[in-house]
Amino acid sequence: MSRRWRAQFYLWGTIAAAVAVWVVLLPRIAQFSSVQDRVRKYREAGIETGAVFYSDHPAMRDIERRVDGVVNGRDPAFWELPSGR
Amino acid sequence: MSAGNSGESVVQATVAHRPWYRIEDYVTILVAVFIIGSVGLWSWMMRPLDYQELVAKSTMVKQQIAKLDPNAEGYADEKKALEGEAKGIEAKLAPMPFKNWLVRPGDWTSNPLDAFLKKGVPIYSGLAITFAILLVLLMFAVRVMGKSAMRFGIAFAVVFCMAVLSYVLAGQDVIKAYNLEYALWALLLGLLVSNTTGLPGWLEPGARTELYIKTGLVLLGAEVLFNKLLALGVPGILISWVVTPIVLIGTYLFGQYVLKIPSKSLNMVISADMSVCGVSAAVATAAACKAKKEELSLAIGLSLIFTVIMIVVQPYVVAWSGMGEIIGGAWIGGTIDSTGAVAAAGELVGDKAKDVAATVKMIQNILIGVIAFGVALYWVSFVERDTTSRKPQVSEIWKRFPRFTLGFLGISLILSYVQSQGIEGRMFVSSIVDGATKSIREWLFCLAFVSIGLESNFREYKHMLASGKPVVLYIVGQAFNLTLSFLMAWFVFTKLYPNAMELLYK
Repeated sequence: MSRRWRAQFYLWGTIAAAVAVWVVLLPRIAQFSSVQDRVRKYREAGIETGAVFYSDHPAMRDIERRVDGVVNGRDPAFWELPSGR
Repeated sequence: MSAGNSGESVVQATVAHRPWYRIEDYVTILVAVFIIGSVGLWSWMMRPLDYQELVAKSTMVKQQIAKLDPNAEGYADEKKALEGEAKGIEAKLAPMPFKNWLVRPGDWTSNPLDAFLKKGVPIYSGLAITFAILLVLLMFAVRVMGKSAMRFGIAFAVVFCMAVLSYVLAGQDVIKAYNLEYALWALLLGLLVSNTTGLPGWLEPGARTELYIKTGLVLLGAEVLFNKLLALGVPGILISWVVTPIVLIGTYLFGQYVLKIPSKSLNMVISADMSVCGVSAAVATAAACKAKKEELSLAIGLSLIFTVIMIVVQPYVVAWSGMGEIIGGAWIGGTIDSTGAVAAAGELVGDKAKDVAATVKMIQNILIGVIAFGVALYWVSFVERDTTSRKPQVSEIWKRFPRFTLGFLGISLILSYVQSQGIEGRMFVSSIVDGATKSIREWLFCLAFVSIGLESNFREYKHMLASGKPVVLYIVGQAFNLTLSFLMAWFVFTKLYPNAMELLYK
């Protein structure tokens, strides 16, 4: 087999293998209840598992709001060392 | 693609003798400023007529929430209702005219075509608009730099399609559940082409890694908002801003003096990727220290592999050890590289852990502006300096300094200031970031990873991995990170600020 044909063979062979994995194998694994539970949990919590930066999470603003609700107005607990230190 | 003296491809700032507006670093700043400026202007013009009334109403609702008595009956329901009202008002205060125009393929379970549906509605027209916006902006940049915009446009169409395919591959539920991000698939798709048939000459003009990375990073500056540094008070700063630089410097020194890794830039990119926040930190430091493309992709690959392990193991360790949700969340937030995986692992521990983990990671994310600037300065001052001169000359430093980092930091500082100007500032920044720059930045990073793959060769990876040193560096650095982050989280929440932990548990 010439070098060019071998390259084409590797390219299309890999593409065929990837199609098989993504179209046949992964959809079957996705039916497992453990995977479904995990995915549902993340989706409901507004978590983008592929986030590269904090702002990529749909739920980040809610998380910030919740944490701010605890930190804001209770400054000594988060800013000052307890007395005696 | 730019080439160094040795002919190796690098993620670098080229400051040649050309008019300043033709230099890539300045062009990327101009493009990013144009995007931010036009989105900001449009959003400002689209403000609702009753803007001031809505601002007053939002402030009133927030005051009502603050006045609620946590011990009163129906506190949770009342708080939830008021928070919902505040959210509704904020949505009106931050118009996002571009949001529906800038889309990307989403999640799917069994049919890949479902990735092109958003709430049941096809996104093909949105994708076409996204392509057109990116094409026009980038063709302009390429033209300004003196290259053929037409040749770029043709090649860009193919690179964009590969980026779309990367998002589809990353959107499958199983892949998402284990945090195998689009960056990995974009890299692999590019590598598949370059290492089988080779990169065709006509596709080369579309593989403009530096242009995509630098423009994406300057846009990322809009999300690096320094006010968020204070989100968790002193505990957040101690865990994110004290431990992280110690781990980064410690790992880098270990790589230099113990492992003696031949490439300083590879050492730096792996150290930053592992200690700060995965992909985004790796991209920022690689550009700042002019790392080779293969070094950046190797660091990201290592990080993604270990993230998959940590996302599964770490929640079990937190539960088994009984360290609790707050310390466990802070530990997860400070150690898992990927921002997405941090929230996912935190969620597996519990709601409180997720909130603390995501907040610690957010504070750590903000650090990348400072890290990128610091690394760029260190590199031009000491690593690349002329060995014949004793002291680094300011003019030499300026000549070599990657200017785009100034754009990155400048935009970050300006928008941090705007964000600090009450609710109006916050909503204005939100309309820029959530409405447009975030999506464009994501696309640019994805295009960059496809380009890196297209320009890389497996032989380079084999060469870098032959000694096993990059893997050892990652493992030792991460072990140091896990130990120091745990000790700091434990010390901060049990000894220094025990009341903070109690309040976070309530």
